[in-house]
Amino acid sequence: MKRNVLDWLGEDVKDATSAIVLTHNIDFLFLQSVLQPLLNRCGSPKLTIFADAGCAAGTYRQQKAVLGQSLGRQYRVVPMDLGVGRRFHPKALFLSGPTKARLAVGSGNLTHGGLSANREIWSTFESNPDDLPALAAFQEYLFRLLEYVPQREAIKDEIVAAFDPDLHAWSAALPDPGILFGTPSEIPLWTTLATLARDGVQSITAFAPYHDPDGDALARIATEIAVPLTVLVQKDHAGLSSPAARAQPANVAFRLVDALNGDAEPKSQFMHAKFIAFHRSGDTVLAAGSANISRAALMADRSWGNAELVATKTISLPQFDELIADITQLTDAPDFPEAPPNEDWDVVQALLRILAARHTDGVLTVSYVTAAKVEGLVAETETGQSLSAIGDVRAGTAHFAVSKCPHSVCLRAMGEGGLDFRSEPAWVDDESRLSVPVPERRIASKLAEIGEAGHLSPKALLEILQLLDQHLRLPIKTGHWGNRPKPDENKKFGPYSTEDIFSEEFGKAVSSKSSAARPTSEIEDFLRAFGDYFSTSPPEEHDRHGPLSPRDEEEREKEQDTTQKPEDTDKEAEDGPRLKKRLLGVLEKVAAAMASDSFVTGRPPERLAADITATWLLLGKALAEDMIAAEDYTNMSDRLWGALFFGSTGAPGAVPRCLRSVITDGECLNTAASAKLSAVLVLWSQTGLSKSKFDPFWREFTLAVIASEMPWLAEGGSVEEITAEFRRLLRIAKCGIGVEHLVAAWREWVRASRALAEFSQAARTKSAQQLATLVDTDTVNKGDLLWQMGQIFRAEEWSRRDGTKVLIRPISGTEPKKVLGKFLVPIAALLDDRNCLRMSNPVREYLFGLVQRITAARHAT
Amino acid sequence: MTVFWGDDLLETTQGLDIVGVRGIDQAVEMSLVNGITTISQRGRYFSILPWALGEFYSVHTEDGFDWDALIAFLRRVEFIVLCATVMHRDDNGGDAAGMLGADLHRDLIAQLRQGQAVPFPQDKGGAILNTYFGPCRAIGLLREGDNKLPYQLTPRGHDLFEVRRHAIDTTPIAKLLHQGTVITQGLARSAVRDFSLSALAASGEEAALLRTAVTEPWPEAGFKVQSHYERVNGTIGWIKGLLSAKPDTAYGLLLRNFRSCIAGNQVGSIEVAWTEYEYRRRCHFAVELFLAALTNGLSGYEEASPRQLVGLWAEDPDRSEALAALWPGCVASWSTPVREVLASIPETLFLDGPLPVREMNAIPPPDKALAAFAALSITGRQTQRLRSTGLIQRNALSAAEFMLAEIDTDPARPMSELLIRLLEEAASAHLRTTFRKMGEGQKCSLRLFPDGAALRSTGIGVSAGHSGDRLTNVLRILADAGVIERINGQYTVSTGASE
Repeated sequence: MKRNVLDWLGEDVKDATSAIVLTHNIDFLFLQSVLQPLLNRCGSPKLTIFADAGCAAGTYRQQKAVLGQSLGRQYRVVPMDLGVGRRFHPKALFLSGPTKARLAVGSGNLTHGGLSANREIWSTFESNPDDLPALAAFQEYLFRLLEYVPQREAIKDEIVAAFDPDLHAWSAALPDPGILFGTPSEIPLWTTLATLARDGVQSITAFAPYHDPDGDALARIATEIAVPLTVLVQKDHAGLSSPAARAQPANVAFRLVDALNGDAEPKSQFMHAKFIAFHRSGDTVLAAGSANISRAALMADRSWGNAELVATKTISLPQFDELIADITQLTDAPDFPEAPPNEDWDVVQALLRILAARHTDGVLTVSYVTAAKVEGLVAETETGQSLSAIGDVRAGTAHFAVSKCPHSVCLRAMGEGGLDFRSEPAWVDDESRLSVPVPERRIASKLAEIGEAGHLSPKALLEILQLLDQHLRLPIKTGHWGNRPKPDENKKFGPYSTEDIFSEEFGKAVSSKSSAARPTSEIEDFLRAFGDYFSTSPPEEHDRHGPLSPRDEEEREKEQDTTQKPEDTDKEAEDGPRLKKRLLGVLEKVAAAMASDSFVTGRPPERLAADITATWLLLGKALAEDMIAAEDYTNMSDRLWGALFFGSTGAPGAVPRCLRSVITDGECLNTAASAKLSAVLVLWSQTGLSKSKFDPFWREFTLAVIASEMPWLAEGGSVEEITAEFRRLLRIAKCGIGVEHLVAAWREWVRASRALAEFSQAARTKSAQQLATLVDTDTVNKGDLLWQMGQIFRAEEWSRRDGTKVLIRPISGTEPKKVLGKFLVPIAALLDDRNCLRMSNPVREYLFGLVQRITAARHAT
Repeated sequence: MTVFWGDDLLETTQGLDIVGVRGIDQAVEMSLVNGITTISQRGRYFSILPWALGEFYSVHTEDGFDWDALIAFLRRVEFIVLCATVMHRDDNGGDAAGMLGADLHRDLIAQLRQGQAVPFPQDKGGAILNTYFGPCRAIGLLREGDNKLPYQLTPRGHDLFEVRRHAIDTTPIAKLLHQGTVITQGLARSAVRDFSLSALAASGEEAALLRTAVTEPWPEAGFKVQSHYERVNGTIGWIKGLLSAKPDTAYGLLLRNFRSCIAGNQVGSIEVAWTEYEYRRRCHFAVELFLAALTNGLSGYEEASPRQLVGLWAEDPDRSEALAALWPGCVASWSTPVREVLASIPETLFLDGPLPVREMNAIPPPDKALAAFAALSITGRQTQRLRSTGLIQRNALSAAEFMLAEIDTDPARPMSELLIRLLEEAASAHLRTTFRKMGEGQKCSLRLFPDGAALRSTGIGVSAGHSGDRLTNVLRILADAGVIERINGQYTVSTGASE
């Protein structure tokens, strides 16, 4: 039976969350070009690959110039270094999802040969009761491998996540491990297999493309189980030397075979499979996997030899015959070479070698080995940046401060006698990128798919919104509020002074150089903008890996012997009303997700800005494409703004509720500022909200109150940065508003929030009684704004001479309070020309005007 | 638990662009020919398709659009075109190149030529829509429609439809198209005037409308469309200018233009664009020849690295006659510095005629590698001025340009070291391109793949070539429409040609 293992792995899987691969050799190009797209179609799971360190370094050396940017960003490769002369050799593919898991254990590496061209052998398991012991054994094996991994915490998390019983129903009650046997282990693999076959073995059939140079392992097998042992030898690919073959015991026989592929013109495939079959009277115990017939694979204990992984199964003799029938038996005698073949890279002798390099929160941590005593360790990035180690350099681990994660790094050090040691470059794992949750990965993958399709269908928009909903419900692991790296030293923006804000020049729209952008289609514009906003990382430069180009024109043309029916759009049209209903349903869920505390506190400001922008873009796109009505758009905007900012039913919005207390000191304030967030809040507030629910003055005032407590919301960047963000947003949002209008709206927001902040500060210096005595009016009108207990309240009509308590409502939406009428303090009365709070005149006058406008507007309604 | 042997991930195919350079020269040419593709070869299909769609809609759309009925109708139209063109060729020597369905219906056509009545094919053919819809859209004859009518006629497409309908409605073909069951020689001959691919120029109004469509943007066309027309009109003017000097083929035009441009003659943007196309085609050939050298070289071994192969090649000092004839000073010693090897390449190499594609594909792997090096480096040198002045811009995705930069990097190093790097880059370009296609679900066209430090051959050979040009089709379509003439396989601007 022949089958492609990747086809098997991905068949009908759409919701995989984790993928783990074990391999000896690795071909990064194949991985990125073939495996990753396949996994994206399976749900864009988080991909973790354990590969032999020597092989990975060798391939990286060859391919690094053309790999682009995804290694260490979109997927993780864990170089496995077991020590001198030891190979990490297991091969397995594991895919884990909420309802099912699949595992293939076999002989194929993560290369085109291993996963397509060679004749490999695979034992496959699914998350059914019979196979669960294998899944449990695989989990146990992965944890065992961690012992050999430096800086293992993040990798451990990925293994835990792949088997998390809360997310994977099949993992809830894993049985004891079984079926799989792996090394390093105290017990050599051969001992395990021989014990498993137990008594009654009548003959053995074995195949491996490689043996140890002297054929020792084969001889030992033949000696320990002294039954006829048939060793299959592939034509032109004998893995045993002629002297070693001649030295085998008499019960060893060699049989020439070949693996032919194709019916019309069969071609020989390289047989890279490895198996030992113990034939008993009624069945066969088949052990197949990564282990060659070598001492390092079969005879080693924990202290030496390779890491190997083998699956065992008892099958009937006919089943074995059926399996072996796919191998062509030849009658000629095998022709053994004088020297045995070697499957490995030449070992690069390096005095300084990087084992792992990971970047987290502005610190690059490099694990390394050195064969000599070194000092003055320096890390050099691919851009030539030289970094000195910070803190103690202990036990092969050094730390370097670097705000932006480099793509690759090499180490330099001085050795004895002034020798300059330099390691080979190694890739750097960007932990912030690698920890991107699965829904976010799926959105990126979906965007790429839409880009290739060239149009955004309602169904695709619905799918993106569903993914967005999943994404919004997950906290972002890195860069939390209050736990963020220091701001970039080059960042131009600093907090504005009050003088700046109230100066004539403040907030004038900045003209920008028009760039000669190539004309793009609307969908391209949308996808690019959405992708740019959704990703909080700066866009990567184009690399030599090439663009995702459509299928070559001529190859497309060649296939056109006849005309193909275009995609049936009828069904899509018929489904329109139902899709609209579903779209609105998902939008409701998005609003509910945004209203949660975890949404606001669980992500850094860039992510908050990106998610708010992404939601707004999708909502706008749905409107522009007539997928929802204008009324739906406004209603949904109201819903989202209520959830985020204005609050409802007595509770404040999620942003003021959660973040008012988080961002306190100046440094946090600066790191929280995001031009993107400020810009999108202004634009959305200007376009989406219904006049009935949020009249313009009240909306602006409420936003100003929120920003007076969290100035970073409004003061997200320099005028240039904010203007640039508006320009970017307007390129995709055809909303009929100019940049100047938006900059003006932003300026008013900044001024109002600063004015309110200064007012609040001044008012808080006085007691309630002192403030009350500063007011010379006897009545309070309905709609007046009051300052009570450090908060702003809305007034009903009351007499200030009344000695009884009156009920007032805070504009923050929290519970109403009772205050003695004589202590009611209308804000306008504190801001009139008497300037009783001693505020600076421009600020006082500005706020006085604003309060008057608000009050008038409230009276009018 | 199931145990199985691994199998191929995808079916194998020869593939067309296996090193990712073909698409680059194709893009240059596409920008110059306004929608004409490598498979849209004949002008008359441009008028037949809009007419056929109009005819079908006028008869079949009362009960709603029926895709199967459309395809059945287009198969009948396509078959009549085939029969009429074959009869025209047999009777008058009409040009029958580019007939759709010629291979599919070979047996039926043979029977027809023997005088038998042949049935309309039911289940084969119909490629006219996919082949010519794009080109017709580019010249404003058709546009995409909606669910009711997926392909719609534009005003100028409708004009063409009316002219043809007026001509055809009075012939027996009108009835035959919709109701006939067989076609005879007589019927096929009666269809020659309106359906033969080589009878368009004589058709008067139909040809005139097509010439207009090819050369003039429609009134409401946007900037993008207008710029496409500017480019194709530039190409037509360029063709006429060169043909007025002497009759020529498409390749002859390309070569004369290339020589003129690299010689530094005063040239315009169209001349430079066609020079860039030829430059990139030559690079394309050279990169594929490097891959052919590597693939052929690997086929003798289980696996090998480029370094190992070059090491083995260096042991054989003999060069083939074909290579020595082109490049008398081709390296005898692989340790010769690159600078000296470059100096030994004739300045006018490959400027006298077409690239010797067949000859270079027949020489042994080490000679292929040297020939590829000669072709690439001399093409680089010949176009140096155009590239350095920005007239031909660098394409960062081109393996050829990466290789040209590599050649210039260290002229003192031994030739063998440079060849190793160039072969590695050829392999890398092949893997990048082919893996990408495989990831998109296309068939596997791998010639080799890495296995550890070495490369393994897949057993599929490489025949280095260069792109099939669209210019040949442009010339044929212009000749069909009566803009130029085709005489004995060459094109010329005749006095009788229409402007």
